[in-house]
Amino acid sequence: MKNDDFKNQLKDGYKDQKSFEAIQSLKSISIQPTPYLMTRILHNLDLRQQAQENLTLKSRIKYLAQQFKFWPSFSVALATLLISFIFFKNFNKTSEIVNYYQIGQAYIIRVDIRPLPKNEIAYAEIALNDDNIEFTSQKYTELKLQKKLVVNWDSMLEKQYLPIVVKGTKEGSSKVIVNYYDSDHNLVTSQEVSLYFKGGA
Amino acid sequence: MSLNKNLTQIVQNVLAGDKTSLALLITETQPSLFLFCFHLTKNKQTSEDLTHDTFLKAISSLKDLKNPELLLAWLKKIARNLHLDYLKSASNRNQVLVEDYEGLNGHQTSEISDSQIDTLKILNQLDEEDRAILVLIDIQECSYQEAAETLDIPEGTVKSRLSRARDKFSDLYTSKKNGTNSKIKSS
Repeated sequence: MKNDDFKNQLKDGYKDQKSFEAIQSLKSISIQPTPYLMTRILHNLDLRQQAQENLTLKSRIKYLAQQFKFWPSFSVALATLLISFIFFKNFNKTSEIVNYYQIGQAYIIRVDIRPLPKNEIAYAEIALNDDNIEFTSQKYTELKLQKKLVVNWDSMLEKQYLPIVVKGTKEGSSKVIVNYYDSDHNLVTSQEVSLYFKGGA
Repeated sequence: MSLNKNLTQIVQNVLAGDKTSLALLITETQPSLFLFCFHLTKNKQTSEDLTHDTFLKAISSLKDLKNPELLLAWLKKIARNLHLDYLKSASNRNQVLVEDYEGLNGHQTSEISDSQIDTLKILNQLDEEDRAILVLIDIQECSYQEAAETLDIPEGTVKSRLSRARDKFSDLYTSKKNGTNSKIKSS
């Protein structure tokens, strides 16, 4: 519709030449968007596509869950198992880990205190009940004579692990027992780490 | 690459996830769509936002496009519908329109002349349907079929509405230039 016939037809459609020319003058408006508009469009289309892909993944998982009729009961069983395990780990009096260590070598044992009810605990007592294990410290050499150490719990509130440095003196199994007490000296919970020392330094 | 010749193929490529074709589609259609949006909004920034939103909506529903040859008209239809939705929620649109034209006059005379702004202001006094049809056919040189697609009306209605819109604009333009006030009757 860009030929002369079209222009004549267009001109005839208007009541006067000037109004026709005025409209025609608007064709030459060359206002342009910023050069970043296309980048912006493509970027947001990408984001939208990613969101849709994530949604599709969720839908597939949901679909699979619907396909397996036993999924809900399986989920409940799995959840029960996990809760039982956590309960056991957190609230049972002991939790046992067996590790092998070389006699005469100092080791740092990191006892996980994250699951403990920290606000109930006032202090911790670390006990070495076997005679083939001792505390060790380069700075405080007298610690090797101690069989029990009390840890100020205030300093542990922000920590994730309780570090204990020990050394084996004879071959055989040993236990590091950590008892946690409240302010009334009642036992809150306990943790045990089982070690086995062998070989020579 | 000619857009019209390859439009169907480009649309198919975009639907298949080809990002190069998507960039090509936007590059080819953006100038005309942006100008159409500018005639709708009278504001450069708002036109960019409207163009942006139009592409986002269009690409996500590209599979619904029945005739790829009318892609540009379809994009303009989406833009117009989005703009109409915006107008429904806007409370001070008339003030914004005039101020924006005057802003362009003061800052971007290389893009729009004073006489063009005067004409735009007269055009803006027409109702939205009349203005849209003049923009599409007499300014952007769309075919009746394309205008019908954009405005979602039959081609016969396009022709009758175009004639009416031209008459209204001529009357209004003449009265403005003669310094008289004329009220345009809506039919």
